[in-house]
Amino acid sequence: MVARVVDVISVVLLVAAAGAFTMGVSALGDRRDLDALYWLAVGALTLRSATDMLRPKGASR
Amino acid sequence: MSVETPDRARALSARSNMLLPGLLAWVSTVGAPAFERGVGSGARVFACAALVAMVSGPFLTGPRPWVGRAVGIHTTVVLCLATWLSLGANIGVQHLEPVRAAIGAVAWVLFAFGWGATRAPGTPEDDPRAIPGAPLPARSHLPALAAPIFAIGLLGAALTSFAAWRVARPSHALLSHAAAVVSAIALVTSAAKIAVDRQDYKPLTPATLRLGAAVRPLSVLAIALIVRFAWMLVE
Repeated sequence: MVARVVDVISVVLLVAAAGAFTMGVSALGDRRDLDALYWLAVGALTLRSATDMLRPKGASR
Repeated sequence: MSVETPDRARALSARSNMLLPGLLAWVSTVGAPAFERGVGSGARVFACAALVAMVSGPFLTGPRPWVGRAVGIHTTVVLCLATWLSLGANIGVQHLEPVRAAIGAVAWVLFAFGWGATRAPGTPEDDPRAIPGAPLPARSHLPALAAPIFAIGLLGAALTSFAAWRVARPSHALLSHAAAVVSAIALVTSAAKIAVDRQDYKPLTPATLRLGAAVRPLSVLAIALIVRFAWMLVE
């Protein structure tokens, strides 16, 4: 059950990353350069979190 | 109906997949700028040569596919690059027409896909050339919801790519496209991993270990969101 919740969190983080990347690129179009950098960094962190949950260090493969 | 008719129909379909997107890409990104007023003859010669290579490539894929690929892909791309280099400032960002450029970008992607090969529809064992024997069962199946999760990644990649076309400032347009391409690649790659590497597909690992693995990026993410919230309060 908990594993399923972690799967859902991972998918939610993927959706959030897509949104953050889109906001980042859109912010460049709206001349908000600092916002753009912020959202692109948030997108990268969110995506990293989503994939790190799949490959725990030290787990048996 | 003869046995060769389906093969011919398949070959015609494959050639159409290579030719139609390629022609659209050539017209929108190579032909149109090369045949504008004031453009030198060198660029036009390269553009015409690129068109000839693009059209002849699919017809050379018969007995020696590598010849068709060398002409249809590599020679075409090199000649298109030569055309763009010859055009110089005529294809600068300030001269770019967003709709035509967006259509051209999509057409180039479809051109790349058109040269790819997919498995023919139907059961492989039903092919008359298949070696007879018991059908080989798949060793494993994709986990549930793999396709929708991958579709989320594809949709996110498409959204970032389209958002990049909204950037009107010439100095930032290229940066936005670079950021969009990197984001799109990251999203598609991660979506594929999430789609197939989930718990119900790979060997079991404790949920706490999985959450623990993501603690560092999640902590930085939380700090970033808190800073943003605080900044909004200050503003």
